[in-house]
Amino acid sequence: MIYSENIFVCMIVPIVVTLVFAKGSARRLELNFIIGMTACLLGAYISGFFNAVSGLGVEDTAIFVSPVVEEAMKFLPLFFYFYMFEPDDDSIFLAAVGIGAGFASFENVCYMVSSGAESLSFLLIRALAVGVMHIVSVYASVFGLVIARRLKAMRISSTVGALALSMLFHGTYNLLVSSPGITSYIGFAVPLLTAVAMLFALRRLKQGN
Amino acid sequence: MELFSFISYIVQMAVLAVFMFLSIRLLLKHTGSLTAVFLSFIFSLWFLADIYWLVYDILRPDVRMPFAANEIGEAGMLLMIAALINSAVPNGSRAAIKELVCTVIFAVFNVVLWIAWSGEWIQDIITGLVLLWLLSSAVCSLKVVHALTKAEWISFGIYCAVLLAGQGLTFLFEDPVKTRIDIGCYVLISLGILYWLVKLFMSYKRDHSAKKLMALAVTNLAWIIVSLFMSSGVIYTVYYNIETLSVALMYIAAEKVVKES
Repeated sequence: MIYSENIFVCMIVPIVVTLVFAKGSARRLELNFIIGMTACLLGAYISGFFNAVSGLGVEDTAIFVSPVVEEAMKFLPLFFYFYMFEPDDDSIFLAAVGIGAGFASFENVCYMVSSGAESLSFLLIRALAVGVMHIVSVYASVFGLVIARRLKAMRISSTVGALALSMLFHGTYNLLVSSPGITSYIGFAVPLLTAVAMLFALRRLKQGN
Repeated sequence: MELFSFISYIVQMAVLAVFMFLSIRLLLKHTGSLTAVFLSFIFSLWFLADIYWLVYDILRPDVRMPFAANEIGEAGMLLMIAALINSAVPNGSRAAIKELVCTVIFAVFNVVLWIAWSGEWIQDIITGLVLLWLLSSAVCSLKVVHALTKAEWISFGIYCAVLLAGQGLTFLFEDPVKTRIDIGCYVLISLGILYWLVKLFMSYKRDHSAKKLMALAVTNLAWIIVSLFMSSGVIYTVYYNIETLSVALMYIAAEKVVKES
């Protein structure tokens, strides 16, 4: 067992202090980073609750339940921000990146505390994979929101479809890395390859626009 | 996993990977096209859901999968197919009130039968709701493009009722009567699949409008999805391969819609 609340408090205090000094988009990014960490903590509580209720076991909960809960937790603040404040595309994507990075950072720290931090090479691979995976998945779900707004049609379908895509992406990653060996290596590579493909596609889309 | 079903999975994944790439390329060429956006989402979701299922089967053979991300992905995919047909052939709900009522009854009976088979209430109700939305969208689009005559609508309604009654009867009888009813149901389902495929191919051959092709392609796919939910074993794998073919047919129709718009 780890005291994740204590880690959470220690991690956010310096960021909260810097909020006083930061301005503009830097401040928004920091705020979203904190929201991402909070979403991670709350997601862990909810997954723990499902673990206790369903009797799936810790490993199966992490593979089958956590992707759904975590993606929903990351998506909810973005959904609120999107519909309450109607930000422009750049602002919502920045918020998504901040939440994804905050979520991944907090998860990585908790993982290191619980499993040890001896192997730098493994931690580096994991940090890269998890970090990119959380950012890619939340980016995909926000992409659905932006599409829904731009095309002014099928809002529910676009939003739910994009959220389902991010949950499925996250779930596939968790399933792949759940078993040691070749599948875990594929799992670690998938987020990075997807990120490269997404960047390429987004660049082409911007050129098209 | 049997070799035949494993090969079928691999073939479908390869086909989906190709169409995912093609649909993203189509989206990059036609950036304002709603149909292209939905097409990209559909193939991405479908491809990932297939990968999820395959990885699960390799890592945990013979262990029943709990409610997982792939089912949410499949629900999202069905929702996206419905959105695809609604964007390509809009404004159909008012024209098809009677057909929609029949669709609701059909979907509700299907869900009841799934629950009776599997006992998985939540999954079946969620999938049923999404499938209802897809079937309703397909029915509306068929009505808008006048794809079926009145006689065809009535015949198809009777056919669906007989099929559901047959499926229901399998719960009331024991073997060998149950097996005979099962075989009869499979014959009926196969005839339904054949009907929609022939109708779609004829429409391609007669060079009908993109909207009509799209309506028929989505209905064909929706019917195969319904058929898959009703089947098991080797027949499931056979239908699965027909689904792969239907994916390709849907892409061709959707591409035509995008290019014409």
